Amino acid sequence: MSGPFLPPGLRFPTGAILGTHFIIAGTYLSQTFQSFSIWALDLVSMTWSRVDPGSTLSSTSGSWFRSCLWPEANKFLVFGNKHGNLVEDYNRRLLSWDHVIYIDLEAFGIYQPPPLALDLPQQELGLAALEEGILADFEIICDDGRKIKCSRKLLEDRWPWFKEQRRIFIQAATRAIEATPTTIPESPLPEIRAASDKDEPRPDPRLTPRAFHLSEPYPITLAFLQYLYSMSLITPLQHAPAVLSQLLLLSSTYEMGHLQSLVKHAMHRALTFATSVGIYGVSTLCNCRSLQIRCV
Amino acid sequence: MAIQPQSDNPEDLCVLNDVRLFDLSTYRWLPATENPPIAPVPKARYAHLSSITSNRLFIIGGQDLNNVWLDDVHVYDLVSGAWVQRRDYPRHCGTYRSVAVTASRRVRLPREEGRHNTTLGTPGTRFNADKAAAPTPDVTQSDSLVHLPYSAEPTDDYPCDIFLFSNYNVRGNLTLYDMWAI
Repeated sequence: MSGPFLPPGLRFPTGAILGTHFIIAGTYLSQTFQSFSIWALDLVSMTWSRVDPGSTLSSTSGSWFRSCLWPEANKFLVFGNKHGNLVEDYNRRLLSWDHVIYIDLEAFGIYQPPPLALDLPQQELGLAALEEGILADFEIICDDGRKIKCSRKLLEDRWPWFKEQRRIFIQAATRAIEATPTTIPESPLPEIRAASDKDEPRPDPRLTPRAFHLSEPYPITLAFLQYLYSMSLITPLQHAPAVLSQLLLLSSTYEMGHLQSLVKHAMHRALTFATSVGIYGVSTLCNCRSLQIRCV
Repeated sequence: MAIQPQSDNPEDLCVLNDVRLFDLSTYRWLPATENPPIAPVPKARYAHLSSITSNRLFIIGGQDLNNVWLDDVHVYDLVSGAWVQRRDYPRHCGTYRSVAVTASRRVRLPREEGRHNTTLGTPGTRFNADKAAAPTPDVTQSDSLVHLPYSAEPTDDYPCDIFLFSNYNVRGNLTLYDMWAI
């Protein structure tokens, strides 16, 4: 184990594992300073760092002795009494449960990475499906006029906003068609339907659009489609800092929680002095507070 | 550690070695189960460490009523409700300066695990119905793909380990520590 700092002796330690970090917390008593201290060991690089919540857990702010992890929220909870005296209560072995403090570990870069939506071979096949133009019956038009072929069905399955827009469009168009009298007898629609369409009415071919204008540049549109096809961020294009920023904005605009969790994960890992300004800006815009705090 | 059940004197302490389960759906304690005669039941103790992984409860270290260190690890199988294993563990472990932790999900690191996707075929030809057709140009090669770490349920090859951490020799600011994965 190494690192510029190493944890001091912590009494009655409690701990947890979150992601690839081992967190240990316990009572630290020295001549000059007493507090409930929290340290984290990065199990990949085997380096220690202190989780410093300011003076909230020092002896001037009460007595705190017991903690537990809330993994789903990436938060660490500490129980105690904010009016207690840490040293006296330690000597009497008194535990208090009157107050709770929570510490946002994601702001320190400690969090549980998101699980896979598709496993690794399926992600590669998804990307191949996009690149080889499989079942591409639709086009997305970028802001420079370039077009990318893709499958309308896949966009509807994996992009809820898109599906909703199509539903609204069909409703409006159906009303318009019903209002105009028909002069030509309609030909019957073919009977073959996809298994997943069982619960939905057969789309009317006359109302099926073939193209959609997305006002984003070509690389962003491609990266977004790569996500929709593979449900992951796997290409070097997707990991370019400028592209990641735009994907975060798209995930916020279209309310795509899974994409947002993946982009935040990629940004936490890509955080350096050079990228921190850009990441700070976009995380503020998208209300990703923990990522924003970590950039500071 | 507890107060002796048959004594009125709160100074009479005893140490325990039973496992009791509280059902969170009915809010009731479940009845105690009998240990079969040959089961490796641990010696009664206090200030031991514990952790649960793979449906097994691990009891590590601790001290007996005379404060003698018990240097062992006992494993209780929660599915069958029985003690199943005992191992020596040559270090004094107790709650004063040690902690045992685990996680419910394991982080997988695809970069370190290496690739074994040889069944997918060459990029550019994966969906070709006609094997002789030319591959699609400008496709992403497998080795340029970036796979981020992800969380997954533990498997036999990648289980959720128990990590044991101890502060040793606490003298002023100098400490030694060890970590083991059980």
